[in-house]
Amino acid sequence: MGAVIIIKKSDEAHVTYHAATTTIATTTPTGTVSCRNGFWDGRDVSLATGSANRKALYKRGADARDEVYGMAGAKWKLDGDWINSCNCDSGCPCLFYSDPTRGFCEALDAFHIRKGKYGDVTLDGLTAVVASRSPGNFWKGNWTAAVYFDERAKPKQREALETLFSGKAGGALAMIAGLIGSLKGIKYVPIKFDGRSHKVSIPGILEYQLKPTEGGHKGKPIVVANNPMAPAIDPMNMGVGMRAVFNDYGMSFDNTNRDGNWAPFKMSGP
Amino acid sequence: MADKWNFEAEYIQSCNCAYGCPCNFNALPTTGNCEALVAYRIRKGQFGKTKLDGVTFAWGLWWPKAIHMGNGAGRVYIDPKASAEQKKAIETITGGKVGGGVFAVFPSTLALAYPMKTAKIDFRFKGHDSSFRVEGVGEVQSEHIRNPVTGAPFEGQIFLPGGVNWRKSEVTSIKRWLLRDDIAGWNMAHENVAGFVAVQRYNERGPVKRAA
Repeated sequence: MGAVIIIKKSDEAHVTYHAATTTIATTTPTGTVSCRNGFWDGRDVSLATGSANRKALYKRGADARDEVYGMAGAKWKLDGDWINSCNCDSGCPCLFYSDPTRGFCEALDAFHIRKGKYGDVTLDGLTAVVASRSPGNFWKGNWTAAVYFDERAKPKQREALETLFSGKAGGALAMIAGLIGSLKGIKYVPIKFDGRSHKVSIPGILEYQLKPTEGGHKGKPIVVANNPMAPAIDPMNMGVGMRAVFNDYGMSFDNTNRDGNWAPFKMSGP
Repeated sequence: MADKWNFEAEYIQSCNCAYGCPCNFNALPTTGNCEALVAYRIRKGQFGKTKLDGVTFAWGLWWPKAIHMGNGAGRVYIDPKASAEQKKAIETITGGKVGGGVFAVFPSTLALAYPMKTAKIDFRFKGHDSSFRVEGVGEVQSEHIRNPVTGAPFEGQIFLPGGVNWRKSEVTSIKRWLLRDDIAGWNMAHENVAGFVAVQRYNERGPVKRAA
């Protein structure tokens, strides 16, 4: 590993980042990782090369974990259900890498962990929600985001959730975390997640519920398979928000009657 | 009871919407109206006693708003290799009176259906990289959609369980498509718009499962 291994977990860590690998020391740093309060500030993680490809984003998560925590990463695996709402028209063009219907993106993404483990910490039944706004196509990053975790999480579980959703443990969550440019904050709140009626709520902050987009077949929803989030989140069922509101950190939106999707998710690392 | 008609076709679709085409999800077209050039090459099929194997035809389509809002215009172009009986069969199917999902739905939204025209069609079915060319009329070139940041190719599919046009399709990018028909007053040209490539079986009930 590179020299940064000497930096142990701390509340305020600034480390030089070697992009290539952590098993072979590289001489030229290609970017920096800054980590504040255990959760990195994404504004500082962009590589000198600009936009990294998806593989590099995954890798970056794993590298950052090793470098910041100075330890081999715990193995993790999450299986659960994802429910999303956004400000696009039904059938979100971003799923096909087109620009969002209204030019910018507002999204709520809830991840309910049915069965999950980070090392030996069990995460069954816990939910995380990411609220975000991005100035353009969300694949181009620069999201302003807020993260919410289930208040029932115990200290060890909180540490695991923060590590996972900050992208430090790699995998698909590192790719998502890598798109965040400005993190407004993390809160522990009561989260209600009802997978059967596709409903998510946090009192006083957000509430959304989806209904399937009706195609010619009333019993079977329209599906997009092998979407860009696959295999982590796939196959995607297409719907619309019967109600979809968010208000926190001076950021608010109402995406009622706009796109919403739900899918099972499976993620793991390293 | 045997089908009155059926065919399994290779299908290439272009339109003027953003990738994935919002119309598949009941949303309005990206820029407000719909323009399309699609083509079918029949692998195996029959209309009554007329065999349709190998028949290739294209359909130029235009609507002032979303398809379901009507007032559209369309013209079918058929490759000259088709016999008189085969031409008659395709004219009847695309005329909207013998069912077939899209073949009944589209004609019901057209205010103007121009007479079928014979034009040589060069049809190349190669997955995402499919293309076709209707001599003197237009062309469609498909390719992969790519991640705007990483360039990674998109290889996803849309499933429309009750779809009128297809049940499952690869979602592609149409690098470029052109349609010029002076009588119809069409001079369409689009780049980097929604594309679809599918193999679909149809009969008078619409898109159906492929033959075993």
